[in-house]
Amino acid sequence: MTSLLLLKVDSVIGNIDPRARLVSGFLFSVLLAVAQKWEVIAAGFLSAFLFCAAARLPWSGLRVRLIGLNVFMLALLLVMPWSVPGSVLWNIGNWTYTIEGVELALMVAVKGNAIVLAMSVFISTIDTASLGHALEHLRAPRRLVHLFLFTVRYLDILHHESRRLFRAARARGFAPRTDLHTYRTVSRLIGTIMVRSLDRSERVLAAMKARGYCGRFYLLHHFSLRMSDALFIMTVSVFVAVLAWMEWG
Amino acid sequence: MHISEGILSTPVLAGGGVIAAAGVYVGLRSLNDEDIPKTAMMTAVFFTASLVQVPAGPVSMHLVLNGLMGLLLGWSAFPSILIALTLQAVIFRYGGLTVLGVNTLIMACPAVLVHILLSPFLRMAQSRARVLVVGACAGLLGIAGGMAFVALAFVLTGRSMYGVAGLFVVTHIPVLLVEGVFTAAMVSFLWRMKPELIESRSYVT
Repeated sequence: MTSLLLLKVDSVIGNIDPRARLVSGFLFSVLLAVAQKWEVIAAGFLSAFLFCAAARLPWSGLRVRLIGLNVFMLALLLVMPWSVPGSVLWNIGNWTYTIEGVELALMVAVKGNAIVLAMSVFISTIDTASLGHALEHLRAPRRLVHLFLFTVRYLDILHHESRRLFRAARARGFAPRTDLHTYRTVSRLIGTIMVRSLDRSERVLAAMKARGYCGRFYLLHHFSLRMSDALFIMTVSVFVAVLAWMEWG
Repeated sequence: MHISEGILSTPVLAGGGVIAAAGVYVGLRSLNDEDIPKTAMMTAVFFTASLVQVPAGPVSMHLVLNGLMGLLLGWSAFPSILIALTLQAVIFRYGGLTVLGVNTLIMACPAVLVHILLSPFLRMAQSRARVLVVGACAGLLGIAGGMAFVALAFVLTGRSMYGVAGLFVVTHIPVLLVEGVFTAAMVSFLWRMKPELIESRSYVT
């Protein structure tokens, strides 16, 4: 899982217990998703930004994602105000583009950016295998965690295989266009990956059985809360509590 | 096919989460321990396939393939899609944690519908033409169902989202057509290459 991981950071946040980061990220996102007041959303955005800065996240990985999100938010700003009643900014016949609509679209945009920032700093910094282990320690269903860990295990292999097959196809002169030939070729490439990986999964199962697999994964990562983790949890809890108090207090 | 964070209202997010959890529970119950490597491998394949860009006229789109997931995975499409979306949220930060439930429903409900409505026909199909027709229907139903769920999530959020719902449906019509053609081609390929995958009642689950 190296080539697919975008945020690999060696910073303070990387040393915090993954369970603490997972729970903090979840609380933070939920609060922002539910918030309705401008001051809460703005404060949430600011604190998420501060957390990113404090964790010294690589700006390049973040930028790609934020640009993608904000292209969508721009579309929202163009479309949403037409279906919100309020004071008219422009109108075409019966259709009105309202100030209230613009305000609502901006609120959604700030919320969305804040949540993505919070996700980036709290959760995307956990490597996927630790995420699986953290989920099991947090009492997620056992089979779901196994499914998750197996998927993570084979993701990178399959991604490489897929790139290899597509490179080979291009080497034979395949150029994707909008036609039946392209769709048929691509479907065969993906179908080939699927057939091969199902055969592989049978070999994997046989090998696992030979080693005594009985439906259990033994977790080798055991997390233990340290002083720094406790401090982290307290800081995030204070932030979330203050935001919640601003929203409902 | 997903909705970003910060857009939907709290009741929609919460309701989506609860229904998706129920679906995942049913999906996990249909799995036994020996199915896990196979199902995980399929999840990884679908994740990889969703990174493939195919041209559709002037733009390029990525594949969804939830109709095919329904045909091959049945109810396990629920946990499988949940995991794929979680990985997307963590690695690429598409979608996110609070919309995970709704996004799972958007893809998994049509997949299960495909499983219930079309899998029996696929098992009975004897000729390549019939396999192609069932595959095309699965692709179309998968995306059309997804579009309907996205529109529903927007509409339930409030009047302010009606325009966005309309825009989403209109812009996804090309996706619908490409997925129909693509899923048909894929099912027919698998039918020839690994018929036991298509014909047996439960190869994967």
